[in-house]
Amino acid sequence: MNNNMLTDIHRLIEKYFEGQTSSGEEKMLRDYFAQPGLPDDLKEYAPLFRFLDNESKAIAVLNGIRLDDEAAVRWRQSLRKYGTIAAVAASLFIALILLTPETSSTSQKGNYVWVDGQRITDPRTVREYAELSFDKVQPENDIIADQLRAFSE
Amino acid sequence: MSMDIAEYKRIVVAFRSSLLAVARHITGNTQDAEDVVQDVCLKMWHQRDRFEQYENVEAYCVTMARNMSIDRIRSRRPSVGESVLLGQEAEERLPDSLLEEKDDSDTIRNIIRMLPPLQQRILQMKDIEGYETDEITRITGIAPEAVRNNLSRARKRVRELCRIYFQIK
Repeated sequence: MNNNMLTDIHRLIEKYFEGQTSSGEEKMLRDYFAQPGLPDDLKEYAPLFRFLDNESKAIAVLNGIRLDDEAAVRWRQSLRKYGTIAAVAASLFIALILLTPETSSTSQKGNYVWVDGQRITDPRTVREYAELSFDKVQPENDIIADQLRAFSE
Repeated sequence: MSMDIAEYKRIVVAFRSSLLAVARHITGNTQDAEDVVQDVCLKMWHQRDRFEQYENVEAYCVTMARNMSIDRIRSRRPSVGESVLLGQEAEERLPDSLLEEKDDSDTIRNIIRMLPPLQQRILQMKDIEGYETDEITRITGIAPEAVRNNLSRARKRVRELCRIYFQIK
């Protein structure tokens, strides 16, 4: 280790104990004291700087985990809150549908007829069925007229 | 093999809820439980080289959390006045309790905790949480010169107590 570096370390240590070092300079000190083979006059500082290095690394991890936990709790709380709001809104919507009276019993739109169990909506087909039905009715009318005529004679 | 920071994070995340449950059950207080779990986790990190000798690391940590919680309820934090007094006494002699500590890291942490509250907070923010002096000024509302003075006094005091401790040891 050269003398310039040792002088720098001594200067930094002095600055550190005067409360004048920046975070970058403190990191330099920690990195320096993490090394093996320190000069005897500097060995006494090693436990302190090693402790600070370890402690700050662990604290950064623990603070990160705690922040993540707090964010997860906030997320669960808002999920619960919005879940409740959504459930209330859904209940109101269902109640609204169930409690609203029907305005007309023939709510179906469009015209249709039922023939032999079949629903017919095509107007032309409907007309054909109707004409066929009228044709059936006509001979029955003729029978009645014949009977009336016979009765009167 | 010693654990790295990623492995440490994985272990803390895995153990945290059970440690918190134990600490909260004993201390009956969420803040104290958080402090206990933080101390257990810090101890875990400082002792990471010795982890291989424990068969069940989680059980070891839970036992540590239980013991630390019991210690905490036995000696609830002293008031500000008492803390200051403790700090002043520490200038004259090293408290016996420190000599009973097995780990250097526990000793240094306890030395820091003996500082007067303001010095302790500023040292914690600067040397452990990594804030710059102007950030500490902004957060605490204390003038930059006062921050530097308190920091300097705190660091010198820690150095002095560490010297005594390591000489006796």
